[in-house]
Amino acid sequence: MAEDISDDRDMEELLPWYVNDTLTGAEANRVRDYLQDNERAAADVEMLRQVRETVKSQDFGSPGEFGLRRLKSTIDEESRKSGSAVAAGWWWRPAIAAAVLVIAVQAGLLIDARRGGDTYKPAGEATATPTIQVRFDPGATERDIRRLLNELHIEIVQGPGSAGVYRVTAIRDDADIEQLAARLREAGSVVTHAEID
Amino acid sequence: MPREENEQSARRLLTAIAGGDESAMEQFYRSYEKDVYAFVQFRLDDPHAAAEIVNEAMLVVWRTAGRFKGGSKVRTWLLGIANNKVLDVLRRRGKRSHEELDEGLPDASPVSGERVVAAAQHRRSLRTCLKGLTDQHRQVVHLAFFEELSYGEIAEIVDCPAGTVKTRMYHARISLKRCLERMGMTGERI
Repeated sequence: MAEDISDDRDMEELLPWYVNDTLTGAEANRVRDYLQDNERAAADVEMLRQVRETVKSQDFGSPGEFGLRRLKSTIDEESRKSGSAVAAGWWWRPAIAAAVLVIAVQAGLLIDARRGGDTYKPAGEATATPTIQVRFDPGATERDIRRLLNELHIEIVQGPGSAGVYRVTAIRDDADIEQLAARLREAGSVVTHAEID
Repeated sequence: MPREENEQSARRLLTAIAGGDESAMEQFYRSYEKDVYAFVQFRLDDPHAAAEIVNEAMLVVWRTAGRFKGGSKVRTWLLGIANNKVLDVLRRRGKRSHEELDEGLPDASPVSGERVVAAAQHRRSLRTCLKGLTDQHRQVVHLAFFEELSYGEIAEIVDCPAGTVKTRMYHARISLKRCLERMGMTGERI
C-alpha cells in the first residue's frame, strides 16, 4: 500500500514533463498507464496544458538592439579600462565616435551659450528641472545631434553614463517635457531611446 | 532548426567569442537575449531589472566563453548564469526565493478537477495565479513550459537534485490548483 502511494507520487511528479514531452519513452508509457485509471490526474494534465499554453503565449518583450548596443558599450568600456590589446579592436570605433560627438556637442553648446550671454549649466551638473534620458544612435553625426538639440531647444545636462545615456532638459521654462520626449523619439535616425526621468 | 543543430551552432559561437569574435557575440546575443529576458521577467516582473540581468549575463558569456567545457547545453549554462543573477537580486531585495508551503503537504484538497480546468481556461485568472507563485515555483514552471526543458536540465540550471525540481513543480501545481479553485468558487473572473 505504502509502495502504491509512493508510486502515485512519482507518477504525479512526472505529469508536467509528460505535458512538455521531455520524458523518456519508458517514463511516458508509465504515465499514460497511470492516467487511464485516474480521472483527477487526467484533469491535472489538462490544467497543466493550459498553464503551458498560457506561459508560452506570453510576450515578454526584450531589450533587443538597444540591449545589444548597451552590451557593446559596456564591453568597450571594460576593455578600455583594462587596456586590453585584443579589446582595442572591438567596437571601439562607435564608442570613440560617440565620445567625440558628445565633446563636440557639449563644446558647441558652451560656445553658443557664451555667445548668447545665457546662463550655462555645465554637463554633469545636477538639475531640478525635468530631464529626459536619451541615447543617441551611434551612426548619428555631431551635426545631426546639434541640429536636433537646437531645433527642440534642449540641452545636455548630464552624461554619458556607463550605458551611453545622456540627460537632456528644456532650455525654455514653458516647454512641455512630454512633448519634447515624444519629438525625440520621433527622431529615430538620431535618437534610439528617450524617456522622461 | 532542430535542437541538436542549435546546440552545435551555439558551441561554435562560444568558441569564436572566446577568440574575440565580435560578430559571434552579436549573433549569440540575438539568439538568446529573448529567452534570458523572458526567464528573468517571469521571475521578477521588473523589466528594468530583467534588462540589467540580460546585460550582466551576456557580459559573463563574453568574459568566460573560453571556460565553457561542454558539460551541459549552452542554453542550460546561460540560464544558470541568469538564475544566479536573479537570486542575487532577490537577496539584495531581502526576498525569499523558496516556498512557504510545507513540503510534506499532501494534495488532499477537495478540488474539483472540472472546475480547475474551467478556471484554467481563463488565461487572465491563470496569469494572476502564476504571479502569485513563489519565485522557486515560477522558476520551474517557466523552465518546464516556456523553455520546454526536462527535469534533469532544470536541475542543472537551478543547481539542485532532480528530485527537488520535481517536488517544487508538484507544489507549484498544488498552489495553482488552489488559486484557480478559489477563483472558481468565488466566481471571480478578472
